[in-house]
Amino acid sequence: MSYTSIKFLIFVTVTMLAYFLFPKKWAEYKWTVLLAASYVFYIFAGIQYIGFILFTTTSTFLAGLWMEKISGRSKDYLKEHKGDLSREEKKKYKERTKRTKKLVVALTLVLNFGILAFLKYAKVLFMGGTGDLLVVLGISFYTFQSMGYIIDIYRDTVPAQRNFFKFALFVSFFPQIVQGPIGIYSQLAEQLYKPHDFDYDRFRHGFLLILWGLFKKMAIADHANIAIRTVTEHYQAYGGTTLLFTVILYALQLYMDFSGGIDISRGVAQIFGIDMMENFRRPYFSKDISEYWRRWHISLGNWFKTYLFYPLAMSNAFLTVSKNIKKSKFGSTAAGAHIAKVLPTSFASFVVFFMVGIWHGANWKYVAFGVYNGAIIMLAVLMKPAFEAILRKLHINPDCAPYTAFRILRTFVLVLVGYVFDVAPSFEESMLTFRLIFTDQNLRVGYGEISELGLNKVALIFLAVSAVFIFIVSAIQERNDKTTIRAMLDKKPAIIRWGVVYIGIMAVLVLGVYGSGFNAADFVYAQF
Amino acid sequence: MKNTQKQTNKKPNTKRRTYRNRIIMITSLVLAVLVTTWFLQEFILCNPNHNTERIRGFYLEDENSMDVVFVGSSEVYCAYAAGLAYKECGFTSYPYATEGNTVRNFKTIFDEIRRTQNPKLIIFEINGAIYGDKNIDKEVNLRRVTDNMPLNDNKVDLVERGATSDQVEYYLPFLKYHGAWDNMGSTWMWSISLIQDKLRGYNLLKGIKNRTLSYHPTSKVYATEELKYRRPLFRKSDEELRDFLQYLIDENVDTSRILFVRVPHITTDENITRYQRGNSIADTVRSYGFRFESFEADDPVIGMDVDKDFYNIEHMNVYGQQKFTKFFAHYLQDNYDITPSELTEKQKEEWDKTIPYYDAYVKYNEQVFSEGGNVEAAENYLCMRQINKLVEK
Repeated sequence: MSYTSIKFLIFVTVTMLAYFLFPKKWAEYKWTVLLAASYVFYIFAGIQYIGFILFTTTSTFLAGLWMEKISGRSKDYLKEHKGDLSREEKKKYKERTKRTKKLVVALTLVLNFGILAFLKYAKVLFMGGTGDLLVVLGISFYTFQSMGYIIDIYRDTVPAQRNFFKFALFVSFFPQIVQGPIGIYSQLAEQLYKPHDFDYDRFRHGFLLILWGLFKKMAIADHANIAIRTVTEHYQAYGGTTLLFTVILYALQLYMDFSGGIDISRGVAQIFGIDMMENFRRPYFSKDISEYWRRWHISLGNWFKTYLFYPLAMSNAFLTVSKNIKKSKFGSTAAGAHIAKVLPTSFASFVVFFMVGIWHGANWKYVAFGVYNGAIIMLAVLMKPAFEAILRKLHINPDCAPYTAFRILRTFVLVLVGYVFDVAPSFEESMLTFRLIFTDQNLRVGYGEISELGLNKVALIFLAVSAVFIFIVSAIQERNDKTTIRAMLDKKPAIIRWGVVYIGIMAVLVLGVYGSGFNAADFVYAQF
Repeated sequence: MKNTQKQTNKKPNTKRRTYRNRIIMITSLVLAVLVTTWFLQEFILCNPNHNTERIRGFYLEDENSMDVVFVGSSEVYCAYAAGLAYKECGFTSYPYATEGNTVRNFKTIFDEIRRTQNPKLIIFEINGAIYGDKNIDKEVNLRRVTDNMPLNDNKVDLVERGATSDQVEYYLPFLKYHGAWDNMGSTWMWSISLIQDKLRGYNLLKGIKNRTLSYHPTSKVYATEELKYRRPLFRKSDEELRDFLQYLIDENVDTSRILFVRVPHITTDENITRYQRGNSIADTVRSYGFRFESFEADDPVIGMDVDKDFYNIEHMNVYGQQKFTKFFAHYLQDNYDITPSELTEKQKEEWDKTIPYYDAYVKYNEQVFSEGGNVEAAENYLCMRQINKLVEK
């Protein structure tokens, strides 16, 4: 059941009715409606996959209880033997407890990430094929979300959930199961379990967000996808100009597809009174690649930052290397001191992006994508003093508008380079794309090829106008980061507010790609 | 005390007003969306063309006001002008014909004619049974009929018999055509025409369409006596034709009120097999007890000129159309006793209007011919602008 289908619309409406008409005297069980809806949604996607989500839910739930039991037992023991144990004995006992918990968390992580890795890489590693062994709906997203929860319990930052069904809802909440955002237990869980009454303003805001997401996905992304799919299916047939056009179009399509899907998810959740985290903050306005990754797929970035980057950067191994550099002769120089200071974080960044690349799938192009992003970030951090010196020498004010515009444009070009790996079917073809983009530019040939990509002139003009429209909306949001376009709309007269809704609905109905004449694309990130 | 009471009275009122306003706004929004969607579906995004204008025009005609209905494919609206037949013989008629109309659609069209009219004669041009299996199954050949039919049991029956894709889209064509905005080209001229027809309540040219070209055959044109061979029909066409004929029998249809015909074509090596299949159709039709008349090839009575009267080997231009219509209208009058029905004042006024409009249509075609232009002449906005000027003159 796609988020853009009539079925989903009916499904959400029925869930809404069931949720908001739930008997008031049993309000504390309102969340069961969301749980039932989430499992119905999952069963619609394919009942054969339900075992995977049930396994993750059960194993994580039990591991959470187990760890909490270990912590509780340890605390009780220490309390009981407060006077009997020496400091050394207490320390040893605590370490032993930590070791046991570590073992439990490691086992849970290995088991669950193991399943994810097996499904993603088994075909490539053991069967000599390509692609995933099985594409299980949302497995990446619910695995990351559940593993975040188990690490939080290990760190004693959240208490374990004692109700299996409540935990099952946290793992399977239907608006986020397809492509996130990856929720954090401490932020999401209580909202899920709390009974929410119908709120007209929330409904209106949620509806507008859904409409906006549908427009981005169905009208812009799916139109762009027609041309992109034509190129990627016959990659070798096109020249450098067309490939460059395709990569730029991909930047628009991917952003609209992913952020559109997330808007639909957030909009639906908002109607139920649940605020899911923002997953995008105008990423193409980023001034460097690090910022881009803080604005793009924010929930995944946060996950890696919290559960991989910090543990790595603060790990003994990384800190030791840093200390050794500092102590060395090189460490006494300005450059050496800087490198010693930032090496742990920059190297941790590299590892994180390498992992992000691998997470995308079992293909060398994704490894290259990860290495490329990691290397750029690492170099940017390590070379920062050198870049600053160049700016000083050239008398450029780093905060002036032209330089900021240059940085935004430069970052966008760097992002496009990364997209070449993503859009090309394989690593070899991404290399071919780079070669052709630089050596085979011919506007006339490109124009001819582009007009044969399944989009006529009117559709191409529509995409160009849409890109400008998105840019303007993003620029407005960028200038007023603390408010939303919806909040701005609230201040306008009723006729404008309702007019916008009317235009939005008609735009989706008319401009959207749907129906049997089209082959609407699945959400890109649903495959990861 | 008084103030507090006033405030408490005010609060529920404000709340009620807010709810009422919301309900009004939501209802208005839903209505606005529905009306816009309907308008776009009906007139703008329905891929409007001459087929749309013709079939919708049929449904605009008053019930039981038609003496003759002529069913078929493109041959029919190129060969037969209802306005000219009315001028010549005074009976009312209409071409229920679409491009590529296949024999599969005949049963539903017959039912639709029976539902809306009570004609003295229903004529079926048999081109729709000559098609190959692929054409029979082509979605577009079905859609040209179903998209323009009102929703009723007949439509449901046809969709169920013929649809190969999602059936919902046949009942809600917006789902299919909403994306047509990027490829509308000159369809706007048909949109205007559809709106004008709807507002007027009838169309002026009764669904005719020609091209302003004269075809000159470059290979041998066969005479009727050379074309005796009977070539079997394609499987699906044969099955559909027999099903339709059996249906007419099962429904106890008066055979004197049904006529199968073949209108004139130019027969060369290029399309000789179609002629030969036409011979087989004649046998089949007659074997079920229905009448069949062929006006194929070089009938000297009609006086068709193969060098002037066709715009391609299958279709007549306005010159051929005039010759055939005059001949055929009198032929029907003489052989099938088609006498004009009594029309109401309003109906008569409407039909009388078709005469100057058809005359202007002929003049318009002749003008374009003389200028060497090649246009599709029909009741679309661009043609009608010129035709209106000629009528006013």
